[in-house]
Amino acid sequence: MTTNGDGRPQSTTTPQGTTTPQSTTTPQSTPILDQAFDAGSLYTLRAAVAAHATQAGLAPDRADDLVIAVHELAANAVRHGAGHGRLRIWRSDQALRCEITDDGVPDAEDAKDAENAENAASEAQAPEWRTEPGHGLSLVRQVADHTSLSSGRDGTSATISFALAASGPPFRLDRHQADGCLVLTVTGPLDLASAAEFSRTIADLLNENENGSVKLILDLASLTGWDSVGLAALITAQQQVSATQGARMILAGLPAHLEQHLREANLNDRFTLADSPATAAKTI
Amino acid sequence: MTVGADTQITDLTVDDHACLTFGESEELFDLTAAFVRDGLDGGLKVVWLSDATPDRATAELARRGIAVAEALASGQLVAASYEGRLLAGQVFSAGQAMTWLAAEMATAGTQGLRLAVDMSWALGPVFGVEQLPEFEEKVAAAVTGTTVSVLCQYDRERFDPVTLASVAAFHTRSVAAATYHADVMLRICRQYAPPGIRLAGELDYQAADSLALALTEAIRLEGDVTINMAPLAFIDVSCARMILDAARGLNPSTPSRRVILRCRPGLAARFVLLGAADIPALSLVTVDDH
Repeated sequence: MTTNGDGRPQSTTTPQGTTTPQSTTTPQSTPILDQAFDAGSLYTLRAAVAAHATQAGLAPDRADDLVIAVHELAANAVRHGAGHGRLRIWRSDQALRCEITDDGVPDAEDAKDAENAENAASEAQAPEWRTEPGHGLSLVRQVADHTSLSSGRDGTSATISFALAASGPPFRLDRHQADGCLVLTVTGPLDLASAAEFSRTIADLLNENENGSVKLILDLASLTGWDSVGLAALITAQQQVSATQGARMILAGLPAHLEQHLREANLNDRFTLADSPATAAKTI
Repeated sequence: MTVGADTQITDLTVDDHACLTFGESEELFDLTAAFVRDGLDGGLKVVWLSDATPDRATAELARRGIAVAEALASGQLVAASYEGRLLAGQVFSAGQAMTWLAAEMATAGTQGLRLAVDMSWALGPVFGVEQLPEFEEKVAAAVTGTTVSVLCQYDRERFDPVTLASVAAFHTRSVAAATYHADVMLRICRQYAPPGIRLAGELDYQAADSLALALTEAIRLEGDVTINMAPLAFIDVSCARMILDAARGLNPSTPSRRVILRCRPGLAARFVLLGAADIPALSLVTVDDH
């Protein structure tokens, strides 16, 4: 999906020439939350999302991710769309699915006018720090497991989903040497609870090998998932490796759904990926 | 003597008898740390009387970058309780308190003295508390034309307006934290030690103007800028980006300056996802959830 300058998706039309944003995501069940919002009620909306997400079984750190994603999409509807909208959240066995709709008319001229007016206003008040609404959407793609947007004459609809934690192995780190490389195997979820240990381990590995080149392979085949804290830890690890003379890092065996998420979030360029530790060892 | 408009804590000079009002203990510790820091830097003796234990008081100062150990060891800094100074048990006497102050002023001599007094003792069941205005009047007279400055610290939430008004007239200046935004959801104010701004509550684009002003003023000061977001529960992308852009803007002109972001792990991750790791002048410091 492409977006225009203000972070909203470009209009897409069906062969019939009309779109109905809601039709792509019509749910069967009753939503666990159904709330209208406008500029004055974004705080209330965030509080309601946090409460319902936690109640539905989302871990508190993932609930924070859901709150920022919903906020950014709702704020887009308020600032660049109709000025108000509606949020609905459904719970299935595996996931929470949220739909944010506005019934605005994303007419190209209107959208441009609104954007220009906003830029003019923000320049008058705070010339030094210009904000770019498009970045709200890129963060949504980074924190949500799946993001889809559709837009037409009837308004814009954004759907995001967040997986509920499935039972899986607990977090564990194992390290061994293979083919002259250091292989760090990550098992379980990389999240708020485990990211600090992961980051410490990476920092220690880089310190231990300060005078020599580190060839680090992260074996992520048993990684079950991440939240924004875990994803940030991976980015920071890559940053530290890149800043260390002679050090290199490859992510090996990343499960397909996580690799797809990296691509959707435009983060895949930050990392070198390999199918397995063995192929990684050949290319590193 | 008249009370001027709110003065910045960093503007206080010798022979000031200033009335500081604060809204929460974080603010009290921050403003006190700046008062103590500037006093120590100026070579003055610094005394802080508070209802915090001396250990807690000095720990709070140390946490804000004051070199507490050396100053305590040399006797330049004293953190103490009220007992034997302002109070004898639960009894207050303006005369006794002035005797103590005169002795402190004499001890400090030409070195000069900075005295901060947390006035929360006057909220307790203290006999003689009605002598508080008399005490303030005598302090004002005693410090005029000397190298002594006194900072009386009043909790504006706990002292009633009548008491605050009755003592205000005896102060040369009124001091408070510069506040850019304050409502039930969000507070944006200046932080004095270490210098920067403090954000508490929930921050989204609707308060972007206040944040921009606070950042602009913080950047205008010299040295590193701390954005203390430890008490911040939420920040949206446009405000987070504004902070990152401020840090990005610092780099070319003065490479040695840094912007330090203090926040919970979840917010730190948000800054990383928005590109914090790519900004050389930026340091992310993660603080534990309270």
